[in-house]
Amino acid sequence: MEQQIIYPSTSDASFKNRSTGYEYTMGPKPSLPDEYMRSPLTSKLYSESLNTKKHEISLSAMTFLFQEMISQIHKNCQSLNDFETKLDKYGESIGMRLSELLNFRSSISPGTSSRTSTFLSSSPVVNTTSTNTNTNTNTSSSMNSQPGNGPNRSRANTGTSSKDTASSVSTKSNRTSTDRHIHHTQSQQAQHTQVESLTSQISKMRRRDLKIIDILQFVHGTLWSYLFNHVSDDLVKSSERNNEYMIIDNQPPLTQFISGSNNRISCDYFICGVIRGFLTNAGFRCKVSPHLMPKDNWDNRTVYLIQFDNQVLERETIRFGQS
Amino acid sequence: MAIETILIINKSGGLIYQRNFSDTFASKLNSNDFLIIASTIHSVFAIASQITPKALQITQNNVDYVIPYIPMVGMESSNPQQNRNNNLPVKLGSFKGPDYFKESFVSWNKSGLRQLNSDQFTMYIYQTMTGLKFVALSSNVLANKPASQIGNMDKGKAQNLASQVADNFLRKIYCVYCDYVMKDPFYSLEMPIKSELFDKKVKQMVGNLS
Amino acid sequence: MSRQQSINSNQTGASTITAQSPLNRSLRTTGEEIWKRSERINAELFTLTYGAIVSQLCTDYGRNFVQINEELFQMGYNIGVRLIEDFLARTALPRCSDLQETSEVISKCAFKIFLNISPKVINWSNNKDAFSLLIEDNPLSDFVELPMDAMDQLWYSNVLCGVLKGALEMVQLDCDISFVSDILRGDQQTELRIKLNKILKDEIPIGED
Repeated sequence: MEQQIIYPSTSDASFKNRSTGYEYTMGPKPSLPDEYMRSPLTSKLYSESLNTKKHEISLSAMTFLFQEMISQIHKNCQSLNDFETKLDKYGESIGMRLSELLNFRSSISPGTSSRTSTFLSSSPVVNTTSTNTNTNTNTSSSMNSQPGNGPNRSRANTGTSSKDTASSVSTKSNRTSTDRHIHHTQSQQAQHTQVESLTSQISKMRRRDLKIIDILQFVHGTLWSYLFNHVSDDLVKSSERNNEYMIIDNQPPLTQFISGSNNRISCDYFICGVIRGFLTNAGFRCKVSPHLMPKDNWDNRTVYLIQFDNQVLERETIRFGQS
Repeated sequence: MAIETILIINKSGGLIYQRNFSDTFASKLNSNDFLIIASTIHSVFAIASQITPKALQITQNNVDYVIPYIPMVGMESSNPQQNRNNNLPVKLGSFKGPDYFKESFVSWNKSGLRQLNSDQFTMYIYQTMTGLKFVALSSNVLANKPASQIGNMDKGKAQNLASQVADNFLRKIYCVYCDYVMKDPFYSLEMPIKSELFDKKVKQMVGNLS
Repeated sequence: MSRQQSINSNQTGASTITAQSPLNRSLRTTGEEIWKRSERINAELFTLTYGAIVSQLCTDYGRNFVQINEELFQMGYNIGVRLIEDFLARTALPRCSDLQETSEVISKCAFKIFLNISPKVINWSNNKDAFSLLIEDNPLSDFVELPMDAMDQLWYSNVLCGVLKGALEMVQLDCDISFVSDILRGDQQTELRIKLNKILKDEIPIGED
């Protein structure tokens, strides 16, 4: 059945091998017999903003998780190559998501971000009430738009503007408790979503990066700051090969505790995967590999070598002329 | 205080780490000797806790197990080259500098061996709640200490101070162990530590101490 | 700021259970002090990494969620037996005198130091050998929605149970730890249950008394 579906014409072989995830050519399929009967779960996912929360956890917690992830992969792999490929894949799944997310977040017009911080520092009592109303609104709006699509419900709700959400509270909710507080909650709700919703803060989407150098600047600056709280230490173009670029980190945080420089460099494939997933999803197919290049006092200084596919270079030449 | 040798003994008495920082012991003892020393320390430690005088056990509530914080033991006072940016504090792995901790703490080791003095060397033991033992061997004998360091204090007080410095120092080795041994996916628990990074850090700290 | 509030309300809630409020206060301060002196990283990277791990397990085990729960627990256990050393080195806290103290240490210090949250301690059993942690703002499950087939079986954050199991075992507390409910499964709250089976007295390091 699945084989007979005609795929859109594409030369990308990896497209056909996708086994998990939403198959848009098939539409939603129930995985449990009574799935359509269930009421949609009031997930807070849809009422939550994609805005940066600036939450932090300890580096220890992260490195312990990373450490355990590595030893699991290491236990189940056949060869070093296998290990690196698997680790790279974990990173890729993260990088792919980030290329969309970070583009959205960098589109926020500068004036609005200050309001976010005002909200976060304001009274937290709002939280409990507005979470409740959020759930209510969320149920009604998601039932309206897409009844019971289960796991495949679209994420469009996240982008609902404050006005829409607030109005759906007043029109659709008939609970007395909500009604009683309607004025109260509405303003809170408005404040909540208006300030928190990502789209409400974007007046104009940031243009997608089309040039290699632009997207690399984005990785070097925005992606690195997002991941590690500082820009990467250097971004260099290879003088020998046209398609090679290097992003340099003097002290990779995640692998800093791993013994044996060979082991450590293999574990950097995780970050390589993040970079590769990020670039590939942005339309720049490439290979990324880590290389240990100590310099001065930096024993762990790591160079992430990015080798773009020829098609990327060809495209750039056609689009922008000889670079 | 100059430290000649550091040992780490796991909870079952096995030696999992041993480094000499000078020839004092290295020239006299081979690795097998150190294995024997480790298990001997482990046993003597246990025996010592059994023979704690009754009088001391009865008045135990009065014994003070608090180790005062002694600032910057084993730390480099200033090391601008290690920073990403000279204005940033020194990076200490997952700990935010300038020091690994900065408050007094209560020793977990209440009745076991803590310090052993001889004419040739002094030994300090720091035991964790999980049963790990961090042992430092120092060739410093208290009698040899310069008067400026001891001042007018009597020998007992000097011993006490040395023991507190050692506890502060060994807790920091424990902190380094948590970063460079516990967070290393290629280390198997209870096994000998082979991490060159850990080695380097320990060596640095011992160097800073002398 | 909202976190601050939840801690405050936490304390008022806990003071009815334990009479030792000075202890509570100092544990909370200890937790916050040490959190301030620990290096941090973006919580979303942590969330995404954990998500990648769980989804890979789902593929590896053909969506056999019972097995995935076990696997997550085992991973957590492996982390816990190592993480406890980090916790002890950072805090140097003395051994707890009873389970109530342990619960406060877990909530106000351990969760605070590693994940920057302080779950409420609730639902004490009558003989005080079991309690629950009410986890809000679980950083593991941020932006997560379970697919329908996983909803009834998967405990998404089961790694936490394993971590607590491993860590407590290393300080000689043999406990049963499991999730009671999870917001991800449509429950009202995320509750993690800890039941003390016995104190492994024989394994307490000699010299501690």
